[in-house]
Amino acid sequence: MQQLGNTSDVQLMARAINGEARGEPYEGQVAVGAVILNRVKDSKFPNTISGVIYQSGAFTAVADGQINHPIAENSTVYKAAQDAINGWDPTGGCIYYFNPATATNKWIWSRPHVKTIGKHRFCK
Amino acid sequence: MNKIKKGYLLGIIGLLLIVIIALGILFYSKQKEYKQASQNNYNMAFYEVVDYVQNVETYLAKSLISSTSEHGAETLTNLWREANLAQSYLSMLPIESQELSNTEKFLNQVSDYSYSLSRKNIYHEDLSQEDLNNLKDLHNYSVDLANTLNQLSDDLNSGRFKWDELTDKGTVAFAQQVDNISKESFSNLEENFHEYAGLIYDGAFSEHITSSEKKGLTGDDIEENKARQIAEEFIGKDQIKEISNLGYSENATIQSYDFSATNQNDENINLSISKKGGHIVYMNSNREVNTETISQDEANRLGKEFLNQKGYPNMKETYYLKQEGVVTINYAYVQDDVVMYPDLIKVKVALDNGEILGLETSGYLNNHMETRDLSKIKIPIEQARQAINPDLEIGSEGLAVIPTEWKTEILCYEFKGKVEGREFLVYINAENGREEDVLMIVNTPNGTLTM
Repeated sequence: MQQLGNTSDVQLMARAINGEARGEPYEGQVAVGAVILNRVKDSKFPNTISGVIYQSGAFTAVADGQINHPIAENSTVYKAAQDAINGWDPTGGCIYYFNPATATNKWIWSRPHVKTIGKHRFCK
Repeated sequence: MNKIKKGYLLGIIGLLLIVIIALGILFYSKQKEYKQASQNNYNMAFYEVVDYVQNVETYLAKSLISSTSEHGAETLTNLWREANLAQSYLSMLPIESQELSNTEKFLNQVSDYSYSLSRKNIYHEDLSQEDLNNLKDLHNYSVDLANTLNQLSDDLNSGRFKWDELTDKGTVAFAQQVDNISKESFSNLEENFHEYAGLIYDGAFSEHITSSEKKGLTGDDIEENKARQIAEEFIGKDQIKEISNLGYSENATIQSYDFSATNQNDENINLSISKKGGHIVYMNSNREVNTETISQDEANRLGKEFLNQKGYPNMKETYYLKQEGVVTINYAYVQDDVVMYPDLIKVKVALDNGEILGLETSGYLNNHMETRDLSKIKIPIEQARQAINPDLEIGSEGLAVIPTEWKTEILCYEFKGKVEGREFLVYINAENGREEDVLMIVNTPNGTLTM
């Protein structure tokens, strides 16, 4: 049995992926979507896709408005969002990721690292 | 001449100054307005949290002394709602998520746990001593949480901290100091939960969910070389132009070796192979598909053939969803005509040439068993049929195993039927005759979904 995300969930997630990872490889885009969904399922985070995406301080793309950046015509973010909602999780269950080149938060380095995809380090 | 020029220049400068000042005032008042608006939102969210947590405390106290299951169910339903709302508003506060993650978890579990207990009450099952002890523990935590929130509320009312000081990322020493004070008062919230270990119960946010045994993940551990060999064979050696090892993910939910390959058409394929048993955890490729020439039936058949070939026999298609020329089909394992929905594999089929673009097996690896015990059936199908709403025109019926939110399984009769043109699936527990679930089938041009 499967609870598929509705159209507005796919669109919101695609915009979040676009804001966070539009220059990343396809796998990295699916991975960002997977982290959002892993948070929805985790008791330490809000229980809806929009609740997770718009949680204060959760995603820089929300804080700086990159989430509203227009999605390019040939962009793969919609497909990536749909793959993530369909269950593909390249992160192996991660709930955090960060760019080691720009991360200022020391706490995030203490999280158990799972893998690096593109510019992002994914961790639990 | 010079004088006129000077006067003219001064005039322009004056005018510019006036414009700049006017704009400055305008921007300043606009910014003040925005600041005020966000302050108001934060205040609203905060006071909602205070109120809802107060109610959580009250209902937890009441749940401890409810003596009838009917009233108990009502109290627990209220508790479920109040904790859920507290949790929603909490995440709107401008505080980094990790600072409040335990508070969030506590509220999520109170909400989820009370829901699971209210189900018990609905079936007139009494709460066990363990349940009551849990509620008592939760109540103690909620008292501390409510007290800390009241303290914070005092701080906010007396102006000891302001939301913009929490969100401002100023480098001025003073601002930072204020920032620390405010942050500290919020970490007090978290301190209440230092010893909170979490709960195990029948719910989506229960502790045991993450550590549940992976029944389909069978076999011996393999080395990276062997995994690479499996990956190469899976894609087909003649198809691969290049393949690279991306390393071993020790901390992944299913420990795996990851590979990235390029095929003869320079398309990228990602693969993850489990350390235990060398199973394909997922495969994914993102080829652009511009035409749709393959029918859904043909795609179903191709996916099934592929699964057969790769060592997953007896898989039956259930739902599908099309997007940008690619269809994702869900397949479930079938044993003795019983559909095992937890043993789920998803296959992506390209609708231009039928190529398999993706495979996702986590459901299968977590749950698959070669044979399940089907002797638990205690209710004959006639009796189950009696249990469903007479308005449902039954189209088909059969047995199925369905997953619960908390990763257990229930053996059910599955009735598919129509009410006023809408299609439904009704699941009746084959052991005790309870109605376990009702799903609505939605047919869209892009696929069949259940809700």
